[in-house]
Formats: sequence, structure tokens, C-alpha cells
Amino acid sequence: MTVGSDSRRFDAHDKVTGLARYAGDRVAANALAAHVVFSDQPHARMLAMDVSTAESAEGVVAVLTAADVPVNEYGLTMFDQPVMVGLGGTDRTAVDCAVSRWEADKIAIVIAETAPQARAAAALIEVEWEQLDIVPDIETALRNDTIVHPESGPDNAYHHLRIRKGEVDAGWAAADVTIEHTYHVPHQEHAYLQVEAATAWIDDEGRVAVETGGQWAWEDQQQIAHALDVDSAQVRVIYAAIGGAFGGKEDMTLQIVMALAARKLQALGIDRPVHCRWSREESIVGHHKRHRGTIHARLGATNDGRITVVEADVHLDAGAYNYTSNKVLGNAHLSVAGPYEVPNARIDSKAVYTTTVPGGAFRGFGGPQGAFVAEMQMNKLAEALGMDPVELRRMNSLRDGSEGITQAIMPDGVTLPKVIDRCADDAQMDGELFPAEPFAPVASLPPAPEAVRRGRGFAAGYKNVGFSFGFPERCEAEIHLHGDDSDEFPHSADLYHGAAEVGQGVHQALRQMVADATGVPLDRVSGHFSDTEMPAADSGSVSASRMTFMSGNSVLGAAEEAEKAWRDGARPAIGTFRYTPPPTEALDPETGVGQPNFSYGYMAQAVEVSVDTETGHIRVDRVTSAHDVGKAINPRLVQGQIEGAVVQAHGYVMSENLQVADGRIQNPRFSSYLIPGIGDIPEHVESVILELSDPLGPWGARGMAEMPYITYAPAVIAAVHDATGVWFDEFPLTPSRVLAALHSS
Amino acid sequence: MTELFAVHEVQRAGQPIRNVRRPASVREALQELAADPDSRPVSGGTDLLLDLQRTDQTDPVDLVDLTGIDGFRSIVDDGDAIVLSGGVTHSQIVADPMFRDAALPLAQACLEIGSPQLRNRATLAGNLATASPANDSISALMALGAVVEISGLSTSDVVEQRLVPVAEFFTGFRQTVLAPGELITSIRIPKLDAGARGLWVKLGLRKAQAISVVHGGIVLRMDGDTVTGAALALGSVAATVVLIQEFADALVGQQLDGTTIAAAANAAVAAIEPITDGRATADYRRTALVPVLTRALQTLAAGEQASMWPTDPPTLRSSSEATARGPAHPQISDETEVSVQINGVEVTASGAASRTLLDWIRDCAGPRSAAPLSGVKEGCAEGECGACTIVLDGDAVMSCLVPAAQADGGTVSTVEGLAAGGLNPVQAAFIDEFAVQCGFCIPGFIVTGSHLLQQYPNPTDDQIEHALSGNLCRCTGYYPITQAIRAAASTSGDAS
Repeated sequence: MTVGSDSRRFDAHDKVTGLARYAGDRVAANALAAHVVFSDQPHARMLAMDVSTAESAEGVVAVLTAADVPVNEYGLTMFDQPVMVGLGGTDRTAVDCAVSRWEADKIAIVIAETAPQARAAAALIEVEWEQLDIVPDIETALRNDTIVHPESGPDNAYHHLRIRKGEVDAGWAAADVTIEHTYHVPHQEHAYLQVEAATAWIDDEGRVAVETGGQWAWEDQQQIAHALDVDSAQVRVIYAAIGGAFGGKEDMTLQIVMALAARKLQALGIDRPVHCRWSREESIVGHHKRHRGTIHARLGATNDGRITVVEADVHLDAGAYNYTSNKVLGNAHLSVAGPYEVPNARIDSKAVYTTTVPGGAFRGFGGPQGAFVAEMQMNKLAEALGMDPVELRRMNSLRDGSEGITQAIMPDGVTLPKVIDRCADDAQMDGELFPAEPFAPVASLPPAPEAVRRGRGFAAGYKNVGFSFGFPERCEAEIHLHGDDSDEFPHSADLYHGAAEVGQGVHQALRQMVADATGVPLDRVSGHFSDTEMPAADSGSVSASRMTFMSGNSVLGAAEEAEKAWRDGARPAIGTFRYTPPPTEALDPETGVGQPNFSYGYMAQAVEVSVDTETGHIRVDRVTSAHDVGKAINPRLVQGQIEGAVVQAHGYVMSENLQVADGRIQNPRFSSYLIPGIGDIPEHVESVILELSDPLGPWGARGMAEMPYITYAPAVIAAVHDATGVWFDEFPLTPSRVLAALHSS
Repeated sequence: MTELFAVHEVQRAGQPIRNVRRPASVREALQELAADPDSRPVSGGTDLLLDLQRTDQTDPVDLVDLTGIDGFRSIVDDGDAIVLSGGVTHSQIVADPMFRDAALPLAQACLEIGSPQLRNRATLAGNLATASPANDSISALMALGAVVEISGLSTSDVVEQRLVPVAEFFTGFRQTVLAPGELITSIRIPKLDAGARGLWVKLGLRKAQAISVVHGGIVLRMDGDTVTGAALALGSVAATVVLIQEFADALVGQQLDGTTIAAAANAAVAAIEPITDGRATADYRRTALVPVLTRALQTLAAGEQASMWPTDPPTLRSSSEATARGPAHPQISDETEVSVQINGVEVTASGAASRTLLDWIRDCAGPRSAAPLSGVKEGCAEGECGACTIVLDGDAVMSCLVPAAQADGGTVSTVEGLAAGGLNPVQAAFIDEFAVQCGFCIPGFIVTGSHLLQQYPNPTDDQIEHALSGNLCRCTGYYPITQAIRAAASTSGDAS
């Protein structure tokens, strides 16, 4: 069995030697440089634009504007964004393309011999803007004084999900205790180390080809084709090595405009590739963020700890465009009541347009925001009742046969009670805190022992695996088995698959699964990935913790088909398979009734902290992160996802403080937006991997890559409360915030 | 209201570098600066390159590179003082035990600036000239009573010096007494003698690479338990780093006991009017300063200040003053063909004036070498992420902050050079320990980690953390990276 083994990554050799080629590496010497010009206008209407001076600047080859976009609209789930803001377009969209709603709306693409020339020429563009009122935040947006997208209706809260379950009044009548609070969750920047880059050219078949890094090459191809108004067969998308994504490369940044640039050059008779690479600042300003939001929640329970009712009003800041906000909202909506049996519920969740950076996909996809509130409420309930927070969760946990918050029975394999128990056991929640190292503060002097307070916190959660709410879900694979006619077994195998390797190790997991599914030794399995010209190119995105689950099932199907062909004597024996999981449903618009998901992953975390009560510095001493992954295809890769997610969540709750004011990001740099460095991470992370099969998962595997992220913030904040007696309903826990709260308590 | 298009702040083209002049003496440098008043002196370049990239000015500019000046990195023990030449870097100070023993606050401040790679480039003189109130070394220098030597050319073309105490050097926010055409040529730091002791403290938002929320240098003169002299310089609490006389007044003549310590800390806080900015609130600065100063004074009272110095902090530096080299070309434009030994092979290419060393290696040298040299990565272009780490003349540096012209005639090693004859132990360990996920940061970690093991073949965990504090990873959480360095150390040890 190679499934279940810690086989070394095939891609690691090239990554440690510098040979791995990412988009932007080793660009052809004759490539032209493209520069994407941001509007710099959070909200303004373009009245006039003249690019003629820029076009005649030194080195400039062409300047593209909105007039060059055949169908000037973009959107993964709804078309509400112009590819480029400007005038003179085709009007083949309902979106008003003359309005800039975001400081990073694109108004021109300057193509020049060199990047500095393109950048310098951009300053020569002349535009006249009429200023419109900036809608800087949710609170302002909800007043509806200024409507960001009039074409989508008279309300900035453009997407509304409801849950009406049981009888809320009866739930309150049965409740002995009420927990009611308003929570604020912050933006988060993905901060993948590789910023956006792309090269585009017209290939030998006359197609426009775009080489970049993303999360779903097939979807990139569809989006490009839509805007270019060509058949998708006229577009080829290829992924080079990808330097991280985390959801941040799910939406388009350079894909469409670089395809447009290549087509423009073709129209001008120029046969040269064109390349663009963003700076870190352009990346932070120019791509979406984890949604910030405001969530008001009420939880009712009996004195013995039974949940009787949940009410919540969720508002997420979608920013200027939807991106995937409607789907992210759905996840927050499902998770805000927690992974618990809730007999009565009223939940209203809204995505709200503002004229700020769009919210979008980011590890957990709305789950962290919802789970933060759910777990904060549960921990406060435990405090109010004087109950053990672990016991409170055991009592209320979803289990097999439970009805979920959307009034559908949970898919089989609800293992949360076991995960909670295992986490509590491994973290020794019933015992003393683990010994901690002396507090080593941030470049200062250590506190006296009496100034340090220690505490522990606990949180549990669940997260769907795969696309939800009826979104078409599928994953393709093709396997070629090679050998002589006389061979009983194939001697080698080729896998064709669309799955994007964004760092998580899916290409390694795929090879391991192919080896087991075909019986071909691992070192004779070759993978061919992420090129829309290949067979079986549509894998769906690497998102929603879905790819191991989906691709494993696609591999199993393709291997079975290939084996049939092998037995029939075909050489190579080719098996192609398109896996479709059980269908999911959109929620009923009035009641939220429906079966939104086919599989879930379950997790629990226990965290121990030390707090320097005089400076507000917090150190996380220990994290126990327990996960039912169904089956660890490669346990070290699973551990890598746990540790990486914990540290990313550590940044979210501790230090990552994106400041957005008047529609503009104030700190778009690594020097001012602080992700954790090697000295800032939790002292110990215990990865606890449970393998309780998912009935539908390949080899029993469940998705897991988002799960360790989701429960971390509430677990940390519960630990800080345990240490200090103070609750933080808002984060990141900057020293300023912490010290102010400690002093006012 | 209508408004015309303005380039977004993050998309400014900046000021292109036209020529890099490389004088061999202070006199030549001053003459170059006098001949072209718009030219800018450069040594470490870690602030200057970012200034040029981010300005709304677009006129081409010439640089006067000071790194070829003979003796520009010298540190001289002058008996009761240490005299630094203008090009002395932060890591030289970290590495030299004389500072730990005789100017501890400065050594501590230098250790807290940026990362090892940055400290191998950034100079003390540059920190003074940039004049940000957040510049860590300034509070140390000010508390120690350091004096700046400024050189300029007289009207009769004579090199003249004037001496300005650090406490009088700053005239406002990022403003100094430096006149156009003048250079900081040395810094004189009085040693702490037997009756004096000092300490430097900082509050930041991250363990390393953190711009200070508050920083302070403290020097006390003691007669038995009685304080006979005191200086506190605080940074990030006003437009410049400032001396807090009220703190000294509360201490001098007093026994250094709990009452005095509390009074001094409170007096300092009462004397400042900090602002709220992106890093902290004004309230926080005031509130947190009390325990910081209290802890500092308690530590000084107990005479334990030296115990705060870590054991052998790695500098990722193997150059010495003796290996400093003069300029190969006296002037470099984008047409000049410069030569650099890259991974043992001489590579000659143009384009070095306007580019960072990172871009020059990738765009100009790579296409002319056997190895593509695209393992050197840009992650932030401001010296924060370490993905572009290379070794230049023996020192690990962030190549995004090095003017390429400064590498002319020098030697560079990149990740591509480490695998000659098979993977080196660090590379192999990164594979075995699953320290590689997306891989984009990995070349920087490998170069940094390999350099660490050269300096310390069996590093402690503290040394590993210290060495890697300038390299960011967003995938792994760092745990397998630390493990890989440990594992590589033990394999290298076995082999030897």
C-alpha cells in the first residue's frame, strides 16, 4: 500500500534546487511586459479617458481599455464585475462598466518593451472622474444612502439567506440562560509567497494560451472564453508551479486581461508573448480578502446545558464585487450555529456590497467567521453555566442521524463526538496545564512571573467537503496503463488530472492513489496536470477541502475503467472517469431547508496560552489539533496541512491587522501587514489524526485542509479568557487591543 | 466633483537609477556628490532603494556608492570610545564582542533590526540619515552619547569635518542637520566604563522584523546603589527619537529601589505625547512603557543586563573588513558589462545600474548562465520575506535591496550553486522532513539555512530561529523547516 505511507514529494527536488518553474520564471526573452493600471478610485464614474499620450510613450506597444473587451463582465458565480472599468465598450453586460467601485478596478493594460516603460507610461493616461460617495463599511452600506450596484437592486445587502427551524419562541421559553453578543471578525490577506504572474501568447493552433497559477484551470478557461466571446476550445490555460493560493487564486486577477493582451498583439500582427508580474503591493491591493463581518448572535440553553435555540444576524462585507461572497456567506450561515443539535433557529445572513476590497475565498470559506461566533457563544455558555466546555459540547454534538441546521439529516459518518473526546484526552483537559517555557516577549524584557497569566481553551467544529448548495460538483481523471500485450500487469501508468498543486501535496497524494488503484509501483506513476488541453481537464477547484476526496474517487473510477480496457487487451489501456458525488441542494429561500452537503470533516482543538498582562503580549504554548481525516493518504502531508493551517489561523487571531479606510487598504506590505514569522508561532502543535472512514471517501478519506484553521481563533480567545477573565469579541489580539481590554476590566 | 487620474500609490514608477558611481575615497565621493547635487549616496541601500521605488518623482537619479571606499567598514577601539566608519553594518556590531561588553544597548538594538540578511547590509550611518523615529539604533546611540562625524567639501574643495552629538542630529520628522553633499563618515561611541551600565528595550508586534512600537536606550551611572547619572532615549513616541530629561531627573541622586524605579518610569511616561498609528494606540504606548522601563531598571539594578544577550546570535556573515573590495568599474550605467562570479562561474551582463541584484540575476545574468538562476525569488521586494536570499561576498543578503552595480567584481551564490555534485544536506533534509509545500520560499530558506550551518554546524534551536527570522513561509508553519535544519546539522556532523 502506498496509500497511507509517508512517501516523499515528487516535486520537492526541483523546489529545493531552485529548478521548479513558477509563472514568471524564465520568461521568453522576446516577451513584452504588461502593466495592469488600477483606477485608484474607490467609487467614481469615468467621464472621459484618453490613452493617446501613453500609447506614444517610449517603448509602448499598445494600451488596452474597456473598449477592447468583447464581453466586459466577470464573476465566478454571478457576473457583476467589469473586466475593465471604462468607456466605449460593447454594452453586452448588465454591469455599468463606467463606474469604478474599488481602488484596484482595472482601467487599462499598458503593453511595452519593458516593465518600467509600461509602468511609466501609465502615468500619462488621462481620465476624468466624477466622484461618487464612498461606501467604506457594512454599517454605512446598510443605510442604503448610496447603492454600489444599482443594477442588482435597491439594497446593498444583495444576498440574503434564511434559516427558520422549529419554533424560536418555544426555544426561548425553554431556555434558562441567554448568551447574546455582537462579534466583529476582521479581513485577512492570503499572503501566499508567490504573487500573481502570467504569460500569454497565441499558440501554434491559434489559441490564446495563458500560463499562470490558479486553483482551477478549467474554470479560468471558461471565464476567459466568456469575456473574449470565443469558444472555450480557443483558450488554453496552463499552470506552472504555484506558490501558494489558500483561496486567493480562485478568482481571476491576470488571467482574462492577459488573454486580452495576447489577442490585441495578435490583432496588431505582433507575434510575441506578453508577461505580467504583480508586485506584493499590487497583489495585496488587487485581490480579494477573507471577509470581514459583523455577527450578532443569541444562544438559549437550559440550566443543564441543552441548546434550545439559536438566533443570528450575519453580515459579511462582500466589498465591491461578489466574487464568491454568496457561497462564502452560505458557509458562515451553516456554521454560525455550530456543529450541534439545535432544535430551534432563526438565522439571517447577508452579503453586503461596499466600495472596498472584495471578500472572497480563503481557507475555510466563511466557516471561520461562523465557527468563531458559534464557539464563542458555546464557551460563554459554559462559563455562564459553570460547565466544562468539553462536556457541554459532548452533550450537544451532532451525531449520526442528527438533523442538521438546515433540517436535513447529516450525511453518514458524523464523528464529532469521538474527535472531541480524543482531543480532550490528548490535551489532558482534565489535568494541569502543560509546563511552559519562560515567557520570551517580543524583543523586550521578560515579565515577572506574577505578571503572566496562563489558561486553556477549547473549540470544536465541522466543515463541508466539496461544493455546496447544488453547485455542480464533479471531478475527472484519465489513467493510461502501459505494458506489452503479453504482460499480466501494467508496468507503468500515466495520470491526467486537472488538480492544481498549490503546495498542499495533491499531486503526491494522486500518484499514491493511482499506484494503489492500479497496482503500478509509485515510482512508475507519472502525473500530467493542470493543462486544459489535456484529457480529463476538469477537476473542479482545489478548494473546499475537496480535492483529495474528489480526485481520489475520480482515480478509482478511472483505474477501474483502465483495468477493464487492460483486460480487453488495449495498450495503452485508457480509463476515463468523471466522478459526481451525491447531489446537494440550494437552501429554501424562506426556511433554509435543504441538504447542502454530502460530506463533512470534524475537528476539535485545545489551546494553552500565556499572557503578559503588563504588555498585552500573548504566546500560544500548546495546540492540540484533532481531526477525523477518514484516511490519511500521506500522513506527513496531512500533518503539514494541520501545522500550516494552525499558523495561518494564528496570524488571523493574533497579528494580521489589515487596515481599510475610505475604501483603501492602508498597509499593503509585508512590513506593515504582519504574518507570523518563525519566532511567532505556537510553541508546540500536536497533530492528532483520526482515521474514521467517510462512507463516500476514497479509501475512506475526508477533506481536511481547512479544518485546522476554523476552530483556532475561538480556542485561543477562550484560552485568553481563561487566563485573564476577559472575552475578546473582536480580533486580531494586538497588544493595544489586549491591554486596553485588560485595563478596562 | 471631478478629478483627474492619478497613479495608485502602489503603482508608482519611481525614480530610475541612471548611473552608479563608485568612488574609492571619501574625498572622491564628496566631489561626486558636489558635482551632481541630485545624486544620492548609497551604502547598504536598504532604505534608499525603497525610497526611490516609492517616490512620486520620476527623474532618473545617479547613486554614489560608498562601499568601495577604503576603510569604510572599519571599527576602531579608541580607548575610551569606539569609532565606527560610515559603512559599518548592524551585523558587524552584533558580531563584535566589544560592543556587547562596552556598548550593550547598541549591540542589542542592532540585533533587533530587521533580519540577519538585512543587518548584513544596513548601516548605522544609514539608520541615522534615514532619521525615522522608529529606527532602533538611534535610541541606543543617543543614550550612549554618541557623536556623529559629518564630512563635507569646503568651497575651496577641502574635506572638512564637523562633529554633532546624536542628540542634536535630528531637526524634525525624518529631518537631520545633514546638508546636501555631506556624508556621515564616522560615529564615535563612548564606552560604558566600570561605573556605567546600559540596556536597550523594545516593544514590537512580532518577534523579529518588527518596526518598533516603542524603543528605548537606557544608560545609568552608579555609585554603589546610588544613581549618579542617567540617560533615556525613546523612539516611536515623538517625531524624532528624544532624550527624556524627566527620567534622568527622577533617578539621579536616588537609590535604585522600587520607589525610584516607579517614579522614573512614570516620569518618562508623563513626559511623552505619543500618537496613535497603524502599530499601536497612543494609550498603549504610554501604558506599556511603564512595565518596559520598570523591567529595564530592575534588570539594571540587579546588574543582569548582559544576561539578556543571546549566546552567539548567528549573523549569516563570513565577510570581513579584509575581504572588502574596491570598485571594478568606477561608474556603471545600464550599458556597462559587469562581471560577477555566480556559483563559481563568471557571468558578464549589462543592465546593472537600474536593477536590484535580484532582478539583475534573474533577468540579465540568468539568460547568460548555464543554470537559469530563477531560484532566486521575489516575494515582497522590501527585504521582509527572505525569498530572494543569496550570498554576496560571503554574506547572506536580501538581493531585492542590493543595487546590482554593487556586486560588480563580487561573488554570489544562489540556491542553484548548492546542489553541485548532489543535494547538499539542507536540501536533502528539506525533502525528507516535508519542509516543502508550495516551495516558493524554499530557495531562500535553503540558502539561509546552509549559511547558518557553515557558521554553526550544530546550531541550537535559538540560533535556528534567529537565523531564519528573516524568511517567511505561509504554508508549513515552520515546524518541518526547523526540523530539517536540525536534521541537516546532524547529518553534516555525522559526515565530518
